[in-house]
Amino acid sequence: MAYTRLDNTAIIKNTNYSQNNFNLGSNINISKKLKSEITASYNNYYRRNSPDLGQDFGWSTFTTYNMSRDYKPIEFDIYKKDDGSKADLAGLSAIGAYPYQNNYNNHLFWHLMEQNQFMTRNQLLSTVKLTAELTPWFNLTGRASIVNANTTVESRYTPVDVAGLQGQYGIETVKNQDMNLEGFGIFHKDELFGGNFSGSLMLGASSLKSRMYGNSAWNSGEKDATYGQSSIYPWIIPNKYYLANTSYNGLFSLPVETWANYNINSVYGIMDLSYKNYLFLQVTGRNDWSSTLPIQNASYFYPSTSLSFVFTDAIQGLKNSNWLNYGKLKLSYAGSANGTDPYLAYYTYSPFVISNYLNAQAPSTFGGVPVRSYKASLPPADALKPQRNTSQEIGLELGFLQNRLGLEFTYYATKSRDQILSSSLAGSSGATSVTFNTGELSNKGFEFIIRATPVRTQDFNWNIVVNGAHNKNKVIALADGIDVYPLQDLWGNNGVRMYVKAGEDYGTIYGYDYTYKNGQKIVAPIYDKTDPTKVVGSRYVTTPDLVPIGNAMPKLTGGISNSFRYKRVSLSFLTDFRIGGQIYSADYAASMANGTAPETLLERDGGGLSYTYPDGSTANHGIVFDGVYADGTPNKDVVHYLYKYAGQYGAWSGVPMPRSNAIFNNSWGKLRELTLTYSVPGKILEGTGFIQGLDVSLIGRNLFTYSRPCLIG
Amino acid sequence: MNSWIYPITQQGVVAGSNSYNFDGARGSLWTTYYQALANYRLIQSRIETSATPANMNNLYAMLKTLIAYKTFKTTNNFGNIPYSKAGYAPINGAVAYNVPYDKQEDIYSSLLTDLKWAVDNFSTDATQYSPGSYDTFLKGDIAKWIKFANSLRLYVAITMYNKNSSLAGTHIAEALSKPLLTDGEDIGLWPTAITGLEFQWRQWSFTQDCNLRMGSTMWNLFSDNNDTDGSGIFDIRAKIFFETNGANNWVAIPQNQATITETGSPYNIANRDVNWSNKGNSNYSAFNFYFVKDVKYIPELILTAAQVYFLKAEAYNRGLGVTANQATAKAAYDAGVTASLTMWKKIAFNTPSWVVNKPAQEALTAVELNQVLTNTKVAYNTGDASSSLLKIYAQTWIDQYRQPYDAWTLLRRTGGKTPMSSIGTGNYTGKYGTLYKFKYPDEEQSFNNANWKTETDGSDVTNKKIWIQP
Repeated sequence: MAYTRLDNTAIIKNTNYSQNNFNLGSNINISKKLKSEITASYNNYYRRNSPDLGQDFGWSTFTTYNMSRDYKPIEFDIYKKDDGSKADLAGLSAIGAYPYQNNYNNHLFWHLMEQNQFMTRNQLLSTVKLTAELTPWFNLTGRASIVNANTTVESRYTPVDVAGLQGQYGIETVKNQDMNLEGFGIFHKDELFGGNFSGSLMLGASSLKSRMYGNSAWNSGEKDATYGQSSIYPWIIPNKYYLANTSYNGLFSLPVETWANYNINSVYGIMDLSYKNYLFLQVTGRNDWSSTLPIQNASYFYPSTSLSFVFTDAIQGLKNSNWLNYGKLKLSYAGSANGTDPYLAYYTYSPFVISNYLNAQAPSTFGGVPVRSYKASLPPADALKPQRNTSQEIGLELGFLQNRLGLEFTYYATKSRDQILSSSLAGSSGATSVTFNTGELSNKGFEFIIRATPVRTQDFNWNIVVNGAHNKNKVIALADGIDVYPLQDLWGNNGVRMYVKAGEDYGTIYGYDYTYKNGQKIVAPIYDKTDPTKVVGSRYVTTPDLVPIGNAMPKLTGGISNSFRYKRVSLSFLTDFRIGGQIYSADYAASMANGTAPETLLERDGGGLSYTYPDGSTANHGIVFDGVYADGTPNKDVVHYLYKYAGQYGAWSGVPMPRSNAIFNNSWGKLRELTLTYSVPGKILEGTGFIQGLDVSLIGRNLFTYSRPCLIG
Repeated sequence: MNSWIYPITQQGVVAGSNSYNFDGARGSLWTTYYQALANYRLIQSRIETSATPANMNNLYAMLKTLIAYKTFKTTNNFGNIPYSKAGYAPINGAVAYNVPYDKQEDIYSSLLTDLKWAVDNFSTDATQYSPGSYDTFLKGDIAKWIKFANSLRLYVAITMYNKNSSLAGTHIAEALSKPLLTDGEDIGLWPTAITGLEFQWRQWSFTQDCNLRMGSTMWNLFSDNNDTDGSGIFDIRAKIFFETNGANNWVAIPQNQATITETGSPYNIANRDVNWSNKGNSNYSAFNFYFVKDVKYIPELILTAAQVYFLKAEAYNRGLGVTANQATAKAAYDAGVTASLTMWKKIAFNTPSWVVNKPAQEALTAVELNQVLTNTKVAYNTGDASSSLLKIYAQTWIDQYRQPYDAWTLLRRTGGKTPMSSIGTGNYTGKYGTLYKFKYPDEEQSFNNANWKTETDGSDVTNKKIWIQP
């Protein structure tokens, strides 16, 4: 039995969570032949507001990106009036608007502190397993497991008015239940066929029923709400949070229900055969029936096989080798297949007609009559097929010098076909995205582990393990008419995008970039709009379309773990590393554009060239863009530093900007864990009478990161 | 969009900065149109494959008319757009994912063909399929459908006349010989006529970072002088469209000022509901609060009777497809001014939430009409066709107070003959004067890249003239 309690006080304002966890496990031998195993755990999780990780209008975004470093949030003292109602920050201000960012974030403080969301989840997981040893060569196992979770999210938005009637209340409950019933029998026999063979055969069947039901309802009494929903029907009872608390006749916005149910039934078999303890063969086969696929394609079979050969035991000459103690070669082929999310198998119409509704939910009637439209996300053109994967693997395991040096190496190649993927379409096609069932992807790579014990003596022991991996992910085929598969994008086309085309490897980062003439960046002057002879700024000329500016894929990832033991003291550490690959740092770009990065101070502090402002005043705020005009002559225009920063790094300007200037190398090393342990000698413990062993450890986690932030652009 | 189109057309001024990019709404304009087009393509294919397509002609005529209006609006926003092969992905699959762009001139010509077909095929015949109560727009009033389609045809043809006068002339002549929208037939989405319709985004469109104020360009067409007590006002629409500042004075912002010092929050609905006069010390006259607040009565206009009268006036003034006739032009022009004054007064009078400065009665009085028609800024001079043409444009531009995108089209196709301030022209040219079109949405560049490149040559700019512009 175990009980764990976790309390978390968050760094981000007005958020926290806590967790209670009970575990129970028991094994009972019912009779000589029948054993049972019962495990159960109960988790209770509570969260006050999910931390805002940088959403628009969020506190983190506001303080990190939008405000200067010396900003003092005096708003926390004034966002709420003494009578408990919401203060109008725009109205309180002398200029009639919340001063930062043109009245943006005017409601942020009230939202952050007074519009709270509480989540509770109670989850019960339990498994009962019965095993019967019917004969020495056959046993039968039945297992039933159930996961039951109930989640409630309650939203309480404090009324904004003195009367306490303009508040919002929402309640959402989600019920999840996954039930898995499984039965299998295992036949096993050593010394088959005259003694050199052993074997076992497992045959089984399972049935998974997954059920999800959720409902949510919202009662808004708040007029002109910025967050949640607006409603012109205030509550009737002040400050009471319940759904029927509305002056509207019925619920202004109807409750929403969601379902996601599916079943998977399976039969499977696993056969193991070994010969003389050095040749091992495993063959498996499995057939699934998934309710998520149309009936004609719902059944699918997939086999796998693997063969291992311990050649150091098989080949006479290697048996007593001094240097090679162990050698194994492994070959395997595995197939797998799966269905998809529920309810994708058949086409449905969209009940919503107006896309830009603001209050309440999307209307499904117009002018009093029910309406339907086609769905902008197109389903696959043909009946869904199962998604299939095949993987081939070859591995080698070697042990040298009394196993003081070990090496494991695996090369794998997997191919996934009939993948159900979704790609965006240009709106002019009439649809915004399409799901297709023809995606083909491949993964190839290798993994290695080297274990070594350089020193092994009575008092001193040194162990070191190095592991590493390299993987290449490639898109082989998409679908007819689909050229690109979008992965990520930031700030639209004027920012950076990641996408991959058929035949390409994953990882390329695209964006506009600088253009060059004779190796020099091309600069274009920006002229005064009313006086086309007067240069007011400069900009770098960008490429006409997005071009590759970086690649996110690492060359190698891995870790080193090392331990020293001297008598009763041991010291160990664990590191991670990543070599190669790049990132686009939006933080860096934003801080350069917004003037919050230290290097932007140079000209602001008067370290620039002499610059004359339109009103005639001068300051050392000027810069000259490094580069040449389109005709190859050097740029000599002295312009305001704004063009260097906001004009070269900014987001959302609607102007293409070179993006390679915020691409960084993403190679790093991390010290994940450092542990110092002292094992208390048995002699000392004897005195206690009941402690058999005691280790005292000092553990530090995530202590150190090494990276060389190297700007590529 | 409000914060850009109004200062571009000079129908209003934005005090402060435009927080949003000029074409920030381009993505939603684009998807809304193409999703409608895709639904249209779907019905089109059902009609064409139905047992008796001819029985669907009346319904087809309705659909062609509606999609023609939407296409007209979209091509005027973007210039060349994917059209003839667009919207087919839900029906035709992969071959329709990447769509080539059509030239605006081809789109206009196709719209005229469709609208002519619609006008000729509307029918009340009993064999025709009837959408019944699903015609929420014109409620099965086929005569009105014909007038709407025919008036739209006139609008499209006149808009392109300078570019292809022979094609436009034929359609103008025929449209003028068929029924057109007349007094009281102001086509739009009227919430009172469509059950449950509310314009929920209207308040947002005025309150979210859009500090619109009355500009001197429109004020000068409403008032004979700048007296802040409003004593110079001769057009009742001044007091319907706009209101006094925080000190209850009539003060327009001189159009096209580089920097404007403005305070106050005249669009703060919560404050103004409590006390209409609480405008937070705004220095300048704002758009009438009720156009911001009301979401349940004031319509979103599509094609007003006044607009159609002004189109007719222009055709006779300039002799487009018909022989020029200043007397006919004047009669149509006067009818247009009358229809506009009548409609706006009626809207103000009938909007239930309109309380302060509500007109005392619904009907336009003879005095109110004559004050406008006889003012030298308005009166049509049959002896001076060219100055009268500018008045036709000016009155169309005023009537389009809540259709700024139509005023923008008028501005562009006439090469800037809509009312323009003579002050701050440099500022205007610098900031607004060369905004001719929206850029295409990012998705076109990303997912229709080859066609996008063919159309834009890799440089999609807002100062590229669209075909209808001189």
